[in-house]
Amino acid sequence: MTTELERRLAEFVNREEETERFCRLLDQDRKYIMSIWGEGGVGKSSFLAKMLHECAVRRLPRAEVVWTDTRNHDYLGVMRRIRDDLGPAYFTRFTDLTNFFTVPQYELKVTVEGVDRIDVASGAHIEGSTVGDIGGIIIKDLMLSSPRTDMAVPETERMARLTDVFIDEMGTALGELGLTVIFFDAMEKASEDTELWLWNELLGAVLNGRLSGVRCVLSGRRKPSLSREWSFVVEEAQLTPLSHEHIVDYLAKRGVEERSRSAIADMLLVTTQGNVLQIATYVDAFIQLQEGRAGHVA
Amino acid sequence: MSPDSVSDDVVAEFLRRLSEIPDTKRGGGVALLLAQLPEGKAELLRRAAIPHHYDATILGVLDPERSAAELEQICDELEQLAFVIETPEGYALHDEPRAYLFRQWLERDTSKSSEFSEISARLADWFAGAAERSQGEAREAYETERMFHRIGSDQRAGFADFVGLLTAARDDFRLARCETLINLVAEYEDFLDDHHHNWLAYYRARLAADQRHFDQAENALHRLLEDEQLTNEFRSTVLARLGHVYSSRREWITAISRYEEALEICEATDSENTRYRLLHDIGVAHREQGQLDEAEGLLRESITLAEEHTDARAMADGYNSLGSLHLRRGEAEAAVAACEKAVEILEEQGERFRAAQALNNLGMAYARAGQHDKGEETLERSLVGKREAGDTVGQAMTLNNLVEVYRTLGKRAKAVEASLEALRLLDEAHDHLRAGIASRNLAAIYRDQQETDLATEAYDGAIERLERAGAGDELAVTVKLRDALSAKRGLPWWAWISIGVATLVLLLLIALAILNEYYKGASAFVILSPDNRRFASSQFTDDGWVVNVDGEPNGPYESLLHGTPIFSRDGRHVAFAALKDGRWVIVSDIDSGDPPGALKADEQPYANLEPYNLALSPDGRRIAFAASDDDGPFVVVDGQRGATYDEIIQDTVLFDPTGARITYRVRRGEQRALVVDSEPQRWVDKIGLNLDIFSADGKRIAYSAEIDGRFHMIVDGVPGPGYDEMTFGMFAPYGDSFAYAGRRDNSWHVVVNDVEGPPYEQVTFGWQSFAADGSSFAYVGARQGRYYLVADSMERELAGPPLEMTPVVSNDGRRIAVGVLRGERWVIDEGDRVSREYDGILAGTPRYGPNGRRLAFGALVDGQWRMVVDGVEQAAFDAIGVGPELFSPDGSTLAYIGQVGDEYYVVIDGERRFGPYANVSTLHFEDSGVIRFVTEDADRNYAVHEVEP
Repeated sequence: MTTELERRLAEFVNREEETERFCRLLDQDRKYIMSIWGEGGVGKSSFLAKMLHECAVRRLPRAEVVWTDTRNHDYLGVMRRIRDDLGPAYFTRFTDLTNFFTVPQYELKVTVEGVDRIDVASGAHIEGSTVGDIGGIIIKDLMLSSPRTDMAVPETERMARLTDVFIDEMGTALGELGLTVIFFDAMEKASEDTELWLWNELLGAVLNGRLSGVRCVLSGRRKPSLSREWSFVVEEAQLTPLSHEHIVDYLAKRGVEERSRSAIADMLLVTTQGNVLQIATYVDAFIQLQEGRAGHVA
Repeated sequence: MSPDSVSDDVVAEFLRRLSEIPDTKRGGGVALLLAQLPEGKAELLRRAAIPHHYDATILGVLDPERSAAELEQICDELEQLAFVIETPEGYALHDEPRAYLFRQWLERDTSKSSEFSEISARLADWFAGAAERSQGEAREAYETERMFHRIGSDQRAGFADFVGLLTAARDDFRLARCETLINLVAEYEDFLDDHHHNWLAYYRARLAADQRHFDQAENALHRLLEDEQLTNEFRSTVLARLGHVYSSRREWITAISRYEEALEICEATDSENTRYRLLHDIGVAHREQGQLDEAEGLLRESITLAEEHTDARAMADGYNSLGSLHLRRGEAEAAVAACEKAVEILEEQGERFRAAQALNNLGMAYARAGQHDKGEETLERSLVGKREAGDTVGQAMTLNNLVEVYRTLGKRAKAVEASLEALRLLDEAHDHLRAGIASRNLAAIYRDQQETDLATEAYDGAIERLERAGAGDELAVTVKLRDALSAKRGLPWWAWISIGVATLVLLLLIALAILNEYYKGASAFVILSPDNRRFASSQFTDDGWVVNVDGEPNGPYESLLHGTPIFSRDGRHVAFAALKDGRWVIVSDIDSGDPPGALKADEQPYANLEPYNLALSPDGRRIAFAASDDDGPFVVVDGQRGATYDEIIQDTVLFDPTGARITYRVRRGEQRALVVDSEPQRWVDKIGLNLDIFSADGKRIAYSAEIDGRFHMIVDGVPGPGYDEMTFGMFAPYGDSFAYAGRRDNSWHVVVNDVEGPPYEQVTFGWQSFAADGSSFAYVGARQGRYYLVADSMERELAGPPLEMTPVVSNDGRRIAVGVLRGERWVIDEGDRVSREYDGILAGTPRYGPNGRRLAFGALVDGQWRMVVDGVEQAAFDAIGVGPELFSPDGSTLAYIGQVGDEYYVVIDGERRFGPYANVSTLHFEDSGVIRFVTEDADRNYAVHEVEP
């Protein structure tokens, strides 16, 4: 049996132009962000699989942030995800500061300008690392999200300071890792605040040059409304439904006999309006029907 | 049957089934697929739509009868389906197929509902166990899923779970998590009972308000109120939330109405614990409205009830709010008592972080009460608490308060240190706006200390930060302040003219009344340009009216518009309106080049109509006048006719300081309006007289108006609160700070930048009561026979009533002088310096030099007037007169007119340098320091003098 990723790659059709644009994004230094949008089921996940594969072929470091119904990453969740994918060793100060802001009684292990002035009670025993020991300094992230109860740092400040340290360390990481790609999938599920933070802070750092050597790919159902300044660095691509020709291609990849392909494609185009997920589901049903009938005959 | 014919049959059947599916858009493919799958596998796939993700373990929870091996096998098989995707949490059905299948579960009949409940209960238990075994982010995600499935098994328990998680997330201000939780419960939305359905809508509206989408929140809450079946408790909660929404928008009257409706329900249902919170909120709204007595009663009642219920937090909130109320009333001692109580309660409760904020308020209350040392000590304690809390911005705000106290105590080094620390903290918190303002404040401290380089550097830092913050208005002010620092020029010329208006009465008595000869049938009066370079007069001769400009006769004319000629504010251009050959012409040197040449008569449109209200722009390049024809009066600007009204109010045509904009006042019926750039603004009952209608850059406009019997200051088109009576308003010479005073009942309030000050029985201020940049404003307030100098929210008691048109604030805001009557004699009081007593103080003084280092005022000593400069009394005169300009631009020279008998002298630095003259005009300083004035001899010959001081 194949994995879901292998299946998606094997059955991938169309999107040649979008793939080319993604490759240009990687090869050239003109634009740094690609924004992909389209209705549910139009094939964003399949295209994402294709792009991830392209990164793997090129051996490019990458991070992947996916919003789901139950795990709606806020700004902290996004930064943790990127940290864990790129390598926690690059993010010691960020991890330390995250703990400082979330773990009661936690004392900073790494000197962070300004923060070390704060006099907090001593003696925290930290267990349950998700990050590990780094360079002789124990830096562990308990992955707590609520602010620590023995401090009263306003949320806006917490966000500003964590973001600042994170971007600093990410800059260092990118310097060592070389060209890196960060994927943000299912953007429509990100909260308004998180989306605002993403554009203003993280992507803003890419826009103003504070972060270089990075490409970001954002995928979602809505077209982001971008001001003119972004148009110079964002490659936009709307994924459109499949045409008859592409459905025939897809049917071929799914092993449907050639002589039936056109008739089935006709009907599927009418029924699904070219929606990739619906076509694939119907083809699954067709294959089940075919297998059932073949089994019955045998 | 051959394979080919089997295949053809399958295709035909597939196409037939496809055409028969009714719901082709969303679930058609899923339904067809499920129909083809083996029953057991299809059922497990249906169940897999209940959770948001699955793996073999969760499939085991969904179908406990199957073995682990079977489940692994099915998991692998399901992975081959197109709508199964891999997520960070495991496998999941794609959104659309899952939504389709999940909805089918919810819509099923009773027997299947029971199956759904049982599966949901098993899932809830499983996720509860997973949560217990986890921590941090993972635990939070499992708890979320436990809540989701608990709603599926027991709506009431699950919803309670939801409320608990939502409350915790909101307390931490984690709005993204709030949104996730609400979206998850919304999956059940159509199937929730009415009670929970309403609460979900309420929480959604509350989130919208938290995200500052107030319109969205307001609409949603109103929709909820339309349901007549709501319980009292719920209706009261919705009304209170609406009150909060309106309070956030500062719509206090509506907020109070909603709170009161909520309160009425609480009182009917004996909901005491909600009641005292509502009383507090209503009290705060009344306080913000300026209804302080009503507010105090409500806050005290709220505190009493909170005490009865031993709700410490509500008590502390009540005392804190009461403290703010007392501060607004100027009752510093009462404010101290209330704030002390709030701090005491919070410290008893161990709430040291909230106590740190309360200490900040207490510190300010001490400072207001004149207990600066205690204020310093308390603010420093607050600072320690905020440091422990890691509240960077909070520390910076307390440090800013400390800066003010240090400055008052003369601890300049500590003020600089605290200011630098505040700046560093705000930079660290990326609060560019506050950091910019902190840097500007630091610049002001350096400027006070004459540390010009450091001040410039701090201004540059402020400009850089304000640019980053995109704070255009603050940026413009800061740039002007920096430029003013380098120019050392003090007030702009037009501000001096404003000051001149205030002192005009005096000048007329001493100089102009003698110089100007009033119309006596055959001759009109003489006028001077503001810079004393030019003069003009008119005279009726046998041939008609002749106008003399700079000694050159022009005319004759059949008639001359009264009140003309006029000079532009820069003194360069002159204009008048005259009747020639039966048609009205505008005669001016506007288009005669630079320097201006000969006068030219220009026939304007509407030359058959007599013009009035002639106005020149400050640079003399634009001209406007009013005229009237059969349709009614109108204003002509640059030759273009404006709309017709019932009346153009006399003498109200006015250009802004830049000359780009023009305003005038009009009447239509019983309503009046200010017309700005041809557009009438709001129609009102009356418009007050306000000389200073424009801000320095001409961008802002303010005027007072009577609407429905109340007076409102309308600033940039927005009416402020209503008052029974109102003074003029004034903009700061630079920047756009704006101040005025309004009376409500028996109390006057000074309003600076929309912030209403405490009530007084009387208030006094003048044209020099703003610092040049508007950062400081001073006035005197009277209460119960006592007088208080109020500046920067601090109050200092004076020995007696103030001199009219004082206090006077130096350009840099560092020094404030007020004339005070002590018994029957006057002093000039600067706080740390008080002059000796005099019999009288000259109107229009005291006056600070442009750099704020020198102070001069005229004083009556034994029946003679003397100028007192930096404490030193100069020569005595029968009378002395000061014009708009008393000091030279660099502040080094001081000039005024002294009168001895019938003769006048120009007095420079205390010496009679020029004269005697029969008459002398006001004195004008050139930028170079040269003084220009005009004299008249006994034969009415005029001479312009330019003298080196």
